[in-house]
Amino acid sequence: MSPMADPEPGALQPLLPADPSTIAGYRLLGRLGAGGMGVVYLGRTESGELAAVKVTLADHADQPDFRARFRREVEAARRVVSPWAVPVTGADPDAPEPWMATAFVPGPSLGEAVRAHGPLPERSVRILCGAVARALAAVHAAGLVHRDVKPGNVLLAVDGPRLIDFGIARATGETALTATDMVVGTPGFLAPEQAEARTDAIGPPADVFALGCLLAYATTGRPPFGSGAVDALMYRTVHDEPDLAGVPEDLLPFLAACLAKNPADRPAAEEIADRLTEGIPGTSADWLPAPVVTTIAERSAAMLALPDIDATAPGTDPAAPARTSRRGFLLLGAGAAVIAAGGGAFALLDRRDDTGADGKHPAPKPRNNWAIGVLADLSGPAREIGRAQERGARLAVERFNAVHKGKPFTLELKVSDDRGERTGALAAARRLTTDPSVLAVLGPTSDDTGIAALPAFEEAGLPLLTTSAGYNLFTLRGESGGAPNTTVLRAIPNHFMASVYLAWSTTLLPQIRRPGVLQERTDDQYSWQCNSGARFGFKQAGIKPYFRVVPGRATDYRSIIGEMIDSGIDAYVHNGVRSTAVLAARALKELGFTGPRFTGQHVFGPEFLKEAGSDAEGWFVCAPVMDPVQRAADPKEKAADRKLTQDFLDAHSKRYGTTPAFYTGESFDVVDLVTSWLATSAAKGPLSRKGLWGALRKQKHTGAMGGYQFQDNGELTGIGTFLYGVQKGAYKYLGPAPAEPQKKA
Amino acid sequence: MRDAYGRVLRAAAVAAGGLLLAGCSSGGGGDEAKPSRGTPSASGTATTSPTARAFTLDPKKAPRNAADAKRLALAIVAGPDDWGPDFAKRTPFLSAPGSWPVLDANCEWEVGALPRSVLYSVTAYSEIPAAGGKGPLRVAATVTVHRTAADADWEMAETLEEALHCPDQQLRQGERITDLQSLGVPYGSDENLDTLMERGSYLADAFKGPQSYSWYQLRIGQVSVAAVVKGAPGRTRAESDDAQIRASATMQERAKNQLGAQS
Repeated sequence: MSPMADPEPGALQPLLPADPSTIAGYRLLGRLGAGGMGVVYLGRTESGELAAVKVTLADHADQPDFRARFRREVEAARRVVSPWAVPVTGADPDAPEPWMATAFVPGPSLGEAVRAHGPLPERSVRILCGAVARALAAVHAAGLVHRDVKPGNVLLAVDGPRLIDFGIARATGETALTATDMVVGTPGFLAPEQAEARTDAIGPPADVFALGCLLAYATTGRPPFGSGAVDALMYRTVHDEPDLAGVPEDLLPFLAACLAKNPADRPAAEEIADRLTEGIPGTSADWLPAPVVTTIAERSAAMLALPDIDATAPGTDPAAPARTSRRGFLLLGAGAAVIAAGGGAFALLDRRDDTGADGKHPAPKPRNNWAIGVLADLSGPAREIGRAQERGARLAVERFNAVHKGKPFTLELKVSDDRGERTGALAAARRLTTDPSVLAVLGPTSDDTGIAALPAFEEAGLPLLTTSAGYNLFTLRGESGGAPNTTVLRAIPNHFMASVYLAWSTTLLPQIRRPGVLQERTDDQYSWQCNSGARFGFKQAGIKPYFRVVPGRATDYRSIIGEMIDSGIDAYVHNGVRSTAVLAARALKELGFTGPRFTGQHVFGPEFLKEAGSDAEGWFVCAPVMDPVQRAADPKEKAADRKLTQDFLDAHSKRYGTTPAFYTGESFDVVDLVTSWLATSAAKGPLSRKGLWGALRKQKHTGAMGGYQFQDNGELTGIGTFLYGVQKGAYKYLGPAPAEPQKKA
Repeated sequence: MRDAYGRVLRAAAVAAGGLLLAGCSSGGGGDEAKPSRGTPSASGTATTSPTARAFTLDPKKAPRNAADAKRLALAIVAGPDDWGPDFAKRTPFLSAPGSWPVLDANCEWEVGALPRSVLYSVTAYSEIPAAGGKGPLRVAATVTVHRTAADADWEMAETLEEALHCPDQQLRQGERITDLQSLGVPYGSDENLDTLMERGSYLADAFKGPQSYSWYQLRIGQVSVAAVVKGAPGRTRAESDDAQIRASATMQERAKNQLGAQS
């Protein structure tokens, strides 16, 4: 996050063309913020760690004494040791543009969290301000004054807050207020002696005053001296009493002391920490409200996807003699050369004009027949899902044509079967991407085929909307300054997030203390991402799981599960594919295990029930899709929403003579989202692929299966994970997965 | 290149970090055996088509006893030249025969006994010595020959599991790794090839501040090969990656030549 300006939530911005690609060994991945003094980048160190790198512009650095001061303060800041202060990891005051690096915390700032989710509950505030007070005590013990304690400088992490930007490069006689980087809303966090620029009077109590403002802000959502014009704000800070309406009563006297006009009357930071956290056992895993935790989880997922392989590794030179022998290795995964070449190719393609799919034709002429594509596994291992997706898409297109009767255009459905095979997927994709009538494509069904097919869509600038592919990097990429996702919209959660929600679903059963989590490597990209999500989710819930990893070819689940039971597991989580879940279900039953069993997307579906038979009874399965029949009958849904679902059921029944399979409804909705946008936009100008992804991404669509909204990176907003229980050989819909871990009694 | 794209996506998914399993078992050994200096680039399977041929194991070449396994392991394991031009042997260069590091309940590595499923295992230690204000870049290559491919498969899974049980591990007195993150990369073009990566921070009493740790492990049939790099002050990530890629590629190619049907 930016110490210089509060970025918008989730704001990791791409590098600008003028930005360097490295600073002093930090490979820059994106911008975290910018202000008048300089820029804060997200960088990666040579050792691979993420860092916030703050660079001061040369103009400012050339002010008299700046560098000496900068150096002194860096040295002092390095002495600050507190679990609640972000450590300085590197600095160079003598560089033409002096820079300082600190460890990077992916959480939102307090300011972002309050703006997005409102004030925090009292317990969270006590833990928050107690920890910030302890960080300030460490700052003061190091002989420093922070001078800029504000919501933008407090980052929220799962295990507690972190204070950033302590005491760096604050000029003597210069208050933060005069820095050009101040944005409206933060001046309200200055002490009177700062507001009056009484430099000699500025000491640790100024930070205590700011902490008081922070506490008031976190509990009420408002700075205690208001906001608005800076001079009026300064006047109020110096002369007026703070507005503390809404602050819990037992915090009031204490807060008033922090906000005393006379610095000498304010308590010391250490004392504040003790008083705030009295009776609260340290920080705990569940200190933040659920929506804030979700924000942290989403950002952590994005960080997981940040490329970390340097483009300068060997093999990039095509003339290198070892090329052939190295190729096999590169293909296996550490392929820096492939990254460099691949990245370069995509960068070129990105710069291409919208000249049509094959690059030869000028922009397409207005036409009145357009097509929606479907790229799906219609004959391979995931054909049940693929066929369901095709049916949903067909229904949406037919309905569009029935309603619009050729005006302004008729839509066709063009279907390409990728057979669930990686090798043929690219060719299957090109059948759609090279067809200029195709405006958007529903697909892919599977992660593997999607990985193979994606380049075709990126080349062609053709939006790809998936209702079943959860592989993280379809959307979570590009933060490195390379090409971000501008191709995929994902109407389901990625595997990491889905697994976080699965972990939180287990907490609906309060007795679970030690779940056994099995990572089974048949589909390794799925299972390791699920495992990472489970690790995060259980940590947040304060639960320590017992992890096991087994090869994909392992079949002796009796001994694997037996060993887990002997280790004392009281629940079982299967992060793996269906065939092994069937083996696990049998083993659990044979061994007489009585605890609950959970699994996720790649097990969900009718085949699991068929293959596991009675062994599946009682399992809980988290899926990214809803059952429309149960939704239409769910009294918890609004009547208007249920009607949309019922209309879809009726249309499906009329068209196909059956109730829809899983994934049909979501596919119908996603194609409906596209056709609705096309219908309203056709009047405004010729349709084209250009800009379509961005336009679709901004849609807020209410469909038969619920609402859809997307984040900037094309990820679904919201939970999108639904819990089913296997009862009498069928999936009984139990409700959406919880948005937070259930508190233990 | 299209085929490679997916691997690239997967490779890029690593968050951060590293691990050294091998560093804790040393002593004895000495320079008793010299690894093969084969030239994989010359003798490797020169595939002209961008679609690489599937790799097939030759059952006749599979090692069946400890003597076969020793010959094979020493022919594969990376020595200094395989890591890069500036590398030299450490002393001892090779691990003691029969040594096998084990992660205990306190997440500390200690000396253990070779499992029955392992025919032979050797670790070769190399480094770029400290010079010009830069710390020593220490690396190790481990080749383990299992009785069966399934045994090797389990070793891969256990490596991943160790990072889940112990994200922080003590390698030996004064050397720790923290924040270990592991990720498996899916089976390659066929089930005889498997890859995983682990990364973390390396904390050594001898060095100021955390350094990088990177563990890269491949399985070719019944053989696993691992290349690990411990960062040092003044050594860049690019240097570490370069060495790790060279050594891993060399060992993989040698293993394929030793075990494959097409060499």
